[in-house]
Amino acid sequence: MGLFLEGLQMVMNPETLLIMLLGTVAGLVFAVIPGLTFTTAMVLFVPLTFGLSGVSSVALILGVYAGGMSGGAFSAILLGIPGTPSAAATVYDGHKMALAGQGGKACGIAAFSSVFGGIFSLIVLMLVAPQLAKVAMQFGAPIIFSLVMLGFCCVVSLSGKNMVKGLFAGFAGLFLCTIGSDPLTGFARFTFGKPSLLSGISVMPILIGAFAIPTVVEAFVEAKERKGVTKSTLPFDPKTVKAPFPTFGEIKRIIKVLFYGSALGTALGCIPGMAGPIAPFMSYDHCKRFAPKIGEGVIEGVAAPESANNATQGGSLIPMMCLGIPCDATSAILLGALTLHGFVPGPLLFDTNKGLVYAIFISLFLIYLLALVLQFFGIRVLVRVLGVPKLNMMAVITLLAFIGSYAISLNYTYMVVMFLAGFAAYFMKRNDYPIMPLILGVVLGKNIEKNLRAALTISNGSPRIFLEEPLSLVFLGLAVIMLLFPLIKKIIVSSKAKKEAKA
Amino acid sequence: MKVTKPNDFKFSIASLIVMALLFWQTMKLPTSSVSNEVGPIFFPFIVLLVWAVLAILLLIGSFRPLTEEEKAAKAKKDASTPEEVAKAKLDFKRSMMFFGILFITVILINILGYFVSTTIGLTVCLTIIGWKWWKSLIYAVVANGILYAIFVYALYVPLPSGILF
Repeated sequence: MGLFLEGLQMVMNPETLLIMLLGTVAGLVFAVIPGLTFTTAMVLFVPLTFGLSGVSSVALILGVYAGGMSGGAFSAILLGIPGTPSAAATVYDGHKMALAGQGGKACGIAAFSSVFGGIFSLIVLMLVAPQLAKVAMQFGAPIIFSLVMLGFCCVVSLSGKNMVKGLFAGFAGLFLCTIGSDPLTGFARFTFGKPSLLSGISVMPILIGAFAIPTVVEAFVEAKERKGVTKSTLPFDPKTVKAPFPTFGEIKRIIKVLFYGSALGTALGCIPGMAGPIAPFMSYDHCKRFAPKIGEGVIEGVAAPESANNATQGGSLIPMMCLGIPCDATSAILLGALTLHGFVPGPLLFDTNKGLVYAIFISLFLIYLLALVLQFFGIRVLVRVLGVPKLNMMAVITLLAFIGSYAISLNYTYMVVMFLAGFAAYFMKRNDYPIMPLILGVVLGKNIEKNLRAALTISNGSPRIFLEEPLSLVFLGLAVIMLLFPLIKKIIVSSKAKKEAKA
Repeated sequence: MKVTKPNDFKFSIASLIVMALLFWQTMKLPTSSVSNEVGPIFFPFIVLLVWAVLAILLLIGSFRPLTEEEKAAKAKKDASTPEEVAKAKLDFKRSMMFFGILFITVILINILGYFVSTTIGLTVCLTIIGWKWWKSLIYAVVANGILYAIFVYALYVPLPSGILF
């Protein structure tokens, strides 16, 4: 109770509450406009936190995160274009409802379901995270290494069609981590005599470059094609759009779907590489079993994906906060932002910064409530955002990308790194190299090296130490299974196809 | 043997050349530290070794026959009309042009400072896409001015200054 009150005290001040509101509005706005994602918004808002206190900065980024996940449904429903990849499954029933003149109702259900999923996963996070952190505190270097490798392998395995390309990107990220001073001896590695590289390469300029620069360049190319005409017209009158709060009958109809979607989203969110659009699509598909009308433009078809996509947030925060392992790009950004302010995610966070942990829980809860109020009462303003020329936003994003990468440590080299990361991300996308393993490699690289070397030092260089610890062996075994997963899947699919051909 | 995936072939060759240079740099690192045998060379060496194996696998894969999925993607690409091919090429060239402008902006920041360089860079980008030059300039100055004021005067984050500003 004392910790809860401490967290409440940290959050309940005008500055933090105002910053929280600003972040939630920004997340909603970025998520509403197709082509702009709240992931981009998150990386661009990190530099804005430099002048803020630790809790306010976390509240700002969490606001963008939670607000952004909720807002993606509006354009999916009203325009048939998902505002965020996670809202893609909402298009099916949501847009059908909009075409049948029930767009406002669908938006109301989406807002309610998003917040339901978010709060459900937050409760799970509050119950599970402190216990998991207690267990993780007992882990030694070999187990931590194996666990981090498991997270790394999960993301590599699930993030692309080609495993070799995924691993290639991941190891590129791990190599980038070796630039700078050696974490144990301080010896300069791959700095080429540049003092600015001694501190290593921070993940933030890479994230800013990878997410903002290709988006900006693609928008400029698209605008050039249209000769700079940026005005867009909405296919409906924003004044007539209304998002009514679901009635008791409607809530009763979707309650089963809401619980199923939220539980599935939370569970999948915990697995590195499984957050994002996978959970909403699975929820949409599975919920057809007890809501057979899904697909015909019904409220259950909106509630299933929307509850699941917000629930992945709480799920993905469990390994990020307890173990320091980000499950997706957004939790990697959150991890980067927390680290920049001196809060290192991992089991120690629950020991040294208990107040902050509770402040995060309370902030998330308040942000979900804010998102609910903003979506119901501000829907007419939000749908007007759909008509804002994307290019004007892109111009500001370009400037924020430059400022943001520099402001991280007032280092010009980071601007160059940001540009190079953007250029590399553009080519990676063109040639089917997944970006997430590279980011995870950069985020986890130092942790992997530190624990690998510490474990080998304990064992006098013998790798048997990883096999002698039962838990380490289990994690490494699971990591190998994850890496072989695409191959196993291929064999199962081809044997099934052969059987069917024979039959 | 015929190269079936020319992009993967070129990329893996280029990667192997870069990796060879990095290996050369890695071998200059100390093999052991004072307290133990696992020195600064250990992790980069292991990572580079696995990375090189992956590049070789990519190289071998570039000679392998295409899978059904890849064949379908290639057939779709081959079926594109000359106009679509020309548009894709033009889009790529335009992307490179915008990357070029951003790159020059990054270089100029070190000489002219943040405000002047990014204002020039953004004005050029907006003019190229079809905005009138004076409209682009006003937009770039106003947007940049607001952000500059927020960061420098409100958040106390100094931005790079140069010979002009």
